[in-house]
Amino acid sequence: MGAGKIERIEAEPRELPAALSRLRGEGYSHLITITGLDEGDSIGLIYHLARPGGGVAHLHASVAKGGEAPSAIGVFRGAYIYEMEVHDMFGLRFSGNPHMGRRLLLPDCYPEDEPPLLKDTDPGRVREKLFAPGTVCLQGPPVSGLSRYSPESIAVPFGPYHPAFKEPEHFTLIVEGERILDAIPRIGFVHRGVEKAAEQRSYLRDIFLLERICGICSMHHGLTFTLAVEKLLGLEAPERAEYIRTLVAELERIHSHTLWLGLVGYWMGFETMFMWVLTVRETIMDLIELVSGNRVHKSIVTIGGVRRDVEGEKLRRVGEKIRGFEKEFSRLIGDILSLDEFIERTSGIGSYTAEDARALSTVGPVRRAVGDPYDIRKVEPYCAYGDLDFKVVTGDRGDVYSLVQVRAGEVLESIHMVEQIVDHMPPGNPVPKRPFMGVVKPGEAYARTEAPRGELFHYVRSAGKHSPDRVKVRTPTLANIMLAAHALRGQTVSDVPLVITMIDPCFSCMDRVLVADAGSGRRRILTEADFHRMRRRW
Amino acid sequence: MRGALALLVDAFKAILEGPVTRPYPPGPAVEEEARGMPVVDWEKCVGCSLCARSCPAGAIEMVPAGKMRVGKREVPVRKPRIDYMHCIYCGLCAEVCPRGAITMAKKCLLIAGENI
Repeated sequence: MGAGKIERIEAEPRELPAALSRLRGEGYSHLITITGLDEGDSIGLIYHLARPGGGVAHLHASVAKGGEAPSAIGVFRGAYIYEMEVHDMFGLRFSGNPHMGRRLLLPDCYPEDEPPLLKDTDPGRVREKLFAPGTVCLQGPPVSGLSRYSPESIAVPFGPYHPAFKEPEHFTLIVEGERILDAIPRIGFVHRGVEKAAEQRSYLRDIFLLERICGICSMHHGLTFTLAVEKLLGLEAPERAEYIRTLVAELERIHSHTLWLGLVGYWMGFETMFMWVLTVRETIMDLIELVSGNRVHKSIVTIGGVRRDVEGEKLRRVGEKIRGFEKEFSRLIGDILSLDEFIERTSGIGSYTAEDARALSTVGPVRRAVGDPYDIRKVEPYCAYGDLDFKVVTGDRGDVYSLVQVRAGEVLESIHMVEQIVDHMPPGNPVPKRPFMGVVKPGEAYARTEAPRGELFHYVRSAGKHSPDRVKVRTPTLANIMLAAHALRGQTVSDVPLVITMIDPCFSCMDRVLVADAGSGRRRILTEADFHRMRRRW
Repeated sequence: MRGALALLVDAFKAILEGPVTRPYPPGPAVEEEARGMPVVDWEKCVGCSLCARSCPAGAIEMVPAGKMRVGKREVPVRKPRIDYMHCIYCGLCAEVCPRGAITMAKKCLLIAGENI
């Protein structure tokens, strides 16, 4: 569970919406993502759908290159962002999707006739076209100006480079005074072409590449890819290796959630809390180094097992340190959650409802904060989660305060899981004899795991070579970013950093697939009419 | 809500516990559990280039290293040179090396460009 070979349900392109709503009627109410494939003469589309209680379906259709596919936004509101991704990467248009006229991930000056993930697209040729004289690039939506929302409203550009962002991201905020009327995100500023690069490396090297999608949930990327490849190989990791993977995954969740907690303090102007949380978190970073040898990129997962064993003495130290951490963290979270200033600064900020969360296909703590216990560790247990005793922490309302409660609860659950792993580590040798360097039989598989930010999905397709034919990654932030934009409406400008931090965004995770990035050229001055026309397209 | 009393108790605890700020770094610069950095021993190396092919970062270059005797003939041989500025210190080269010519040394100095 959590991973498997893909069994396609075939459909004709024009029947796609009907087939999707039929599957939705059968309980597949969560659209994970849409994978595009280069199938030679046609573009393959795989719609990955999940049931909230477990179970995945894959609907496949082939559309001729240069053709059109009907949009699925009538069935899944959140589908439009995935359709835009396929449009950017494969040049396929979706009829009925109002956002086809603009880019999601690629820069606006990217050549129309060179979709980056087609097999015959040559990066060198793309670079030539991008840097040809006369190519100017205006990244993102209009920079500023008057908006037509109301006579008093103006559009405020926020990002991509802004002191309030840790990573580049652009939001166009339509404000009326201090109040935000609308927020429009534009992503794609940190694309590194990871999916394309993964097609050119061996499976073993890909693990290290994919780990570098994110510096915080790095191990989950390596793990999810490995789980999918192991399904293709028909390989099962030894039980001890599964336990060690779970151990590192849970340590990663603790360090990610505590880092986020510190950032919440930072963005609300409570810097003492930031310092305090990060001091406490240092124990976990030491533990990660103790177990994996590295503080940031753990690089512990390998195909068929793990790269390092955690022996008796080390395990004992893990158990000892995690108990010390539990004490410190409980005191910290007790103090923070009892501060009136903290409660008032976070309650009701960035509020959203369970219906919003479901309709926008959100995942992870953001979804659980509104009482929806959607957790891959529980619905489709992978690694050692089936053997561990833990509960899914949920909240009762969506806002920053409830998210702090949910994530703090998850940290405590993770601590208990680490304790259980230390006590019940099975015997055996978790390290494979030699690293996997062979060929993978043709086939396709998926894997999904619960990364700290939510459901992480990898799709791997092999054509019987040393390197994969296609790797598709859907990170939790891409699924959650629309909710952040939604939750910004009605807030004040001073709450923007806090509300965006609410979903624990990882913009580098979200942006992966660009082949080359062009420097921006001259500034374009927009007339009001221009602006009005562009606004209509949104 | 734990109220003012709890905060007061915490305040007294803090007085007794001493300063929160501690000298940094608290221990040696390289932890004993750290992976370390790869170091090549050219004497042991047989020039199979497995390390260069498996290096995730492409940081290993095979450079000409004189000749080696295979049977009765002398053949030119290439040996690995690690670019420590590209290296991601994952230790995969040490794992794949059939002769144990690459070891992970417990040190963290960066020497760019030169083979050590």
